[in-house]
Amino acid sequence: MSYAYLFKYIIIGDTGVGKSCLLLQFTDKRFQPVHDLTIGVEFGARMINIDGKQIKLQIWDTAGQESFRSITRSYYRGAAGALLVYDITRRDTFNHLTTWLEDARQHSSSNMVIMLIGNKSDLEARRDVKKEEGEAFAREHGLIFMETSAKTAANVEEAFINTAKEIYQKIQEGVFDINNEANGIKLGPQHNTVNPAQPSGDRGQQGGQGCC
Amino acid sequence: MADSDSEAEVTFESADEGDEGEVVEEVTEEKVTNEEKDTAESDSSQPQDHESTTEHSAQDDAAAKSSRTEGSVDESRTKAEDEMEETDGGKQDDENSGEHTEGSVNKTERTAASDKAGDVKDMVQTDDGNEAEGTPGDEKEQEEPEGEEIVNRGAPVTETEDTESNAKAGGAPQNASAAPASGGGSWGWGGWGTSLLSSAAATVTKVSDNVGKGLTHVLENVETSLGVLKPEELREIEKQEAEKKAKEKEEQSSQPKEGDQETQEGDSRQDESEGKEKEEKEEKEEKEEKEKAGAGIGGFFSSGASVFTSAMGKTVTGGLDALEMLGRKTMDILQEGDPRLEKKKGMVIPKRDKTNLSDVLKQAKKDADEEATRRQEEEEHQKYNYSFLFDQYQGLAHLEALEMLCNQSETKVQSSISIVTDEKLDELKTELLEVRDAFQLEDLDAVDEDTASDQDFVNVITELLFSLSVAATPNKLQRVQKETRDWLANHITQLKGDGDEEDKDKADIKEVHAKAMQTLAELTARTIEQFHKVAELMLLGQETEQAKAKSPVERATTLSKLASILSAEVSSVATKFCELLSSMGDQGSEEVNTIITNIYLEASNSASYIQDAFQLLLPIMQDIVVTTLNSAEEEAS
Repeated sequence: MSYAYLFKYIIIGDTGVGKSCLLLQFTDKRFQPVHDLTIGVEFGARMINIDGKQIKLQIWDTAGQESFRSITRSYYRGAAGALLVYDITRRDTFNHLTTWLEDARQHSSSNMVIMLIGNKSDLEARRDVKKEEGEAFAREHGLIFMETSAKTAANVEEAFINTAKEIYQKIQEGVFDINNEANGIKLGPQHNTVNPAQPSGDRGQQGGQGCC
Repeated sequence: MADSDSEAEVTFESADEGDEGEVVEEVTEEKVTNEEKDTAESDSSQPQDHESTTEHSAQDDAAAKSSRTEGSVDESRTKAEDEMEETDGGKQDDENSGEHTEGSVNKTERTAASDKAGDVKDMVQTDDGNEAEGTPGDEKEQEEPEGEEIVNRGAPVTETEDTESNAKAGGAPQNASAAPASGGGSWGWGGWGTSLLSSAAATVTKVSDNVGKGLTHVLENVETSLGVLKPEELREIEKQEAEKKAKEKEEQSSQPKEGDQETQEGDSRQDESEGKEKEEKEEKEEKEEKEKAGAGIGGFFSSGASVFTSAMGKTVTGGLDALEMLGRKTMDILQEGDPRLEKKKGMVIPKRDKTNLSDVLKQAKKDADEEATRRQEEEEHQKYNYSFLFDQYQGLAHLEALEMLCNQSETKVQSSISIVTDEKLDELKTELLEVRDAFQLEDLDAVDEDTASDQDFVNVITELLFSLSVAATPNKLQRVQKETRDWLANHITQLKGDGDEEDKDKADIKEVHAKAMQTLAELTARTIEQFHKVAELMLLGQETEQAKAKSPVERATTLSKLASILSAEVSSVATKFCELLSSMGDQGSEEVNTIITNIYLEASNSASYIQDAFQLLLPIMQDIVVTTLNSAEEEAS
């Protein structure tokens, strides 16, 4: 499919907050209550439309386990947007936000748009973190905030799309250099007809650059 | 039209109302006198006032009728026309009947002007014993069309009037062409009517101009046609009758002059009341007409004619005035809040340059269709597009992620080497080189035989992964591989069953092509994913006892085997698809050959992807070597 831009997203947060469920809800519009532990990183992609422009979201769903932190950190690079997820029924996931945020800020572009997501909003009875607290945290750290439910799909679309809108706006403002892929934005080809031999070649080059 | 007619009538009526009563009375009186002939002279000399002047001059029946007409003209110009008709018929009336008629007219005029004509007719018919029955019928027939014509177009009206006046004048029919000429509408009234809206700007002035011109024309026509009789039979008969009556009334020939004067007076008065300059002109022309008529035929006759002509002229003027009035009013209403009629123009005349709704909708539909077709083509194209499918299976994403890990490890190894002491460096270098040497793909042909069966493939992969001391299971790879083999087996047996049908072959060739592309892309993507997971898990599980049990070089060798097997599997699948295709179509078939070439091309692409991914594992393996060495050192110390 042709697209105007490709945005790379990364979903981060403690294990079990529902990162993979959010992705599945967004890409497949379904909910899977039992999910295998994510190993390293999994991927999802979806086309969205902003201002009549087709934008492909390439979403990297990272493993939340502490042991994978060293690996997942290496995936932060080149993300245009990050969804920092906590579980509103588990205060510890909210308390770890600062660490996640530091990690994200340290390993990614400074322009990266971060959306704070309080997931599992359907479990109102078991709420442990007030919405106001999430709002306050987001305000304090300059994040966008939303409470979602991967189960009921509430605000899931909005979370992904609003992040994309923010990124798009930054592009319009010239904050993002769209020609620098380290920002997590790629200009889409008219048609995604990449010469199969080419990408590997490119990658080899990039690898060379990376090592220097 | 009917509405405007009545409106016009009302207007005129109200304008003349004051005089009306008197007029009628006098008309009655005079007519009585005139028609009775004996008293006519004495009577006619008495009443000189008001609008009735024209009527005073009238001595014969025709005149009497025209006087009636005059009355109606005052009230309603359109109806006047009807009455003219009646008048024609009315010539046949006796003088006595004329009296009665007048009386009744008198009454009716006061009550309902619009009904007047009809009333008069009724009276004429009922009172006139001698009256020919056929005439009223004629009148009625002519009534409506005439009325309409007046409003719609000036020209026809004039025509009729011309002929009528001719008939009444009883003059010699000389200029037959006069009537048609005037009736031709050469001065463009018809056009004026229709172009009323489009020539919006200075229309009011134009209208009056036109009316003025039109009037002149009318009068001219009347003039020219005065001495003329149109050779229409109907008119002829009327004429003859008129002549008869004229002869009877020859004695009164002395009256015309008086009548003329009176007419003039009356006319001027009317002019005052109506405030129309045109009528003055008309008057003069009327006089001329009368003179002419008088010169042409007998004095009496001419007087009659002149009276009638004047009546006609007035009628015409009245009709035209009504028209003008209508026009003005219409324009006033139209121009209300829209001085140059821009809006109304836009409403009436559709603008060409503006796209209308149906065009927009058509365009939208066209665009949508094109978009749909384009998408369909794209989708169709994507079925055979390896790169797209590979991306769809997240092959590129895994490759990119693997690359990132690779970069990270590379940096780590570089920095480690720079830190390591010289004596350690040699040891490290040796191991790193060993690992690098181990990262050579084994001979594909040798491995190919080992992976002959499905079960072997899965077993070998699982075994290799286990020997890597990694918890990753090749579930996805296994699934893809199984699916592919099942599918191929199904199709091959199917092919043997009914491979004769040409149509089915065609469809199948496409299907096989799509399936081949999809399988190759998925298999490659899963292989890369497997490598990626292996890399992640190796990096993650460096510290475990299991990991330490195997040396990095051993692992590297295992990875090489794995890569070789996966590459072999890809080429094996490709070959199977190609075999299937060639067994399906004719060997020489260009289409099949192209597809086969395409499949082999993408298979080689797959192989290069797998090799690239495999090579990305080297820095990671080296990273593990360094880390293992470092941890061993730490343990030792």
